[in-house]
Amino acid sequence: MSTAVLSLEALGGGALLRADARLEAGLWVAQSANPHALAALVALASGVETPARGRVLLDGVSPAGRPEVRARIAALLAAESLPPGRDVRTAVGRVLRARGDRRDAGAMLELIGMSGFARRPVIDLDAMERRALALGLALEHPTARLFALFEPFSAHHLLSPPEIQRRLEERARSSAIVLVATASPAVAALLGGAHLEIESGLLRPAVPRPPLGVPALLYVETPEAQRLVSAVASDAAVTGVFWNERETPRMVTLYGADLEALGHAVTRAAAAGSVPIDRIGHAPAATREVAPATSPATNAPPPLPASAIDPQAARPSDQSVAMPTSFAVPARPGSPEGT
Amino acid sequence: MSVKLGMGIARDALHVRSGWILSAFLAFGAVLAGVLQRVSGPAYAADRALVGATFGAAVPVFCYVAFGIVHRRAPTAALLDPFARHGADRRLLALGLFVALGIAAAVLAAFLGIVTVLAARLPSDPELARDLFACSWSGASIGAAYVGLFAVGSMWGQNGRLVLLFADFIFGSGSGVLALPFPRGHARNLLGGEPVLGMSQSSALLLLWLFAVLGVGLFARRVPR
Repeated sequence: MSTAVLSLEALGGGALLRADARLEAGLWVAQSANPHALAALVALASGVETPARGRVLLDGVSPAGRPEVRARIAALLAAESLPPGRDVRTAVGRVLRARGDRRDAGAMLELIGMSGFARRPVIDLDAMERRALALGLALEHPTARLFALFEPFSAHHLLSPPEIQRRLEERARSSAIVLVATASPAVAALLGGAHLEIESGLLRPAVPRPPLGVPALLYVETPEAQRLVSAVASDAAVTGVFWNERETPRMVTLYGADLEALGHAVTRAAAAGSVPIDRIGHAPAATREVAPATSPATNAPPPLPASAIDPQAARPSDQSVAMPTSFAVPARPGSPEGT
Repeated sequence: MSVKLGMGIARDALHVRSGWILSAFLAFGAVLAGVLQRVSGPAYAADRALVGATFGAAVPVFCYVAFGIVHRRAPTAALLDPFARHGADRRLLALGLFVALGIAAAVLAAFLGIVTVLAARLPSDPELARDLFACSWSGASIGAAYVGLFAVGSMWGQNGRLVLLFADFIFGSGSGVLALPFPRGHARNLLGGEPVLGMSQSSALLLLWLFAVLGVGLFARRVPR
């Protein structure tokens, strides 16, 4: 089976202002403090809602107007509903028929551990139960190319969170796209870190955040990344270094207790090693395409070892220190300027 | 599969107590109309009862109410979307929905026609059997035509169906060009009443089925897949 590709092209609607991304098969985590934006992302990406702007394509085809594409999407929305029916079993049977799944509804409810729901009227289920049922049906979709799930770990009923995680990762390995939208940093960390974030309604690649206890983070762009890493590694002001040689060979992320001290560490290292610095700042340069997360850990900065975090490190008293956008490299001793 | 799912929506919605009560009430009304017409004057009593109370009032009202029961004040899209999100084709869902409503309307209209004739004619009437047969297929055609009319009205929701119900009553009561797009005048023609624009009964029958097919087709064509 070819790997799935989800394209979001200037997609917007509801609380999501704009999303541009191309996601290939694997597990993707979108995080935001705004649950409405996350809910909109899931509803739009899964084709359940029509976008107000832009479009979404799954394997190059829009789900709008193409029922065969929608049949290959499993979604868990913020607010779930069931098709009408005499009881839950009838409604679940209709969901399966709509997908083209010939399995018996009673057997499906048994499989997802919700056989107790079978004879209950559809109107009897509360919001949590509807989401739990929808999650179970989504995870058991046999041919889905896209799983778009809003807060799946808050929808568990009889599935434990580790079991949900296992199933998500299994689906991600089977050439499908698994997009998990969550407002919880803990859930994002559980799944290997956030790859996407929504800030002010805009979807963008996630910016690595310094772990708790390490208040300063600096991005340095240089063509000589390896030499810079070697030069700063022994500097006392630098408590951690992240460099993804394969994905972002020119970008080095430095962690430390003090932002100004980090900046000076960079200039010292650059001067000592004659390392040219192209850019230095709080955030990495914006990128349009997000690399596939075949192994989430390779894209996210690894957690710092406990020894790297010095609880006794002095915190900057003035948090409003201006961050210089460029550093003048001090002249080396012996040069005409450095006398 | 989507067509079957659409039919299931209508079947489940109509299989409620209110639907049966309405049908019983309308049947009682049809019998009463037939009896009253027979008492007031046996000649053409069945025709008067069928044109007036049964196919002129009971059938259109039943169809309008049946649509209301199925839709529950929501647009048709709200019925279709819970299935469409999982991969059902909205057009086929709509087709199934309206076919099921059409079957229900045709069966009930035929039944109301039969009970009206039985009430309006004495058992010894030599025309009874012929009339029973004629009003059953006429009733089915008229019921189906009203479903087509209200399918078109569903493009604008409940208000659209209400407007067409009144428009049918007002304009369909005539026999000129304004009566042409409404089932009422053609139903009257089919039962031996004044034709619309001098059309034959065969043309009237054809037009009623055309309403049914075109009305449902127009709605299905307009809804996205």
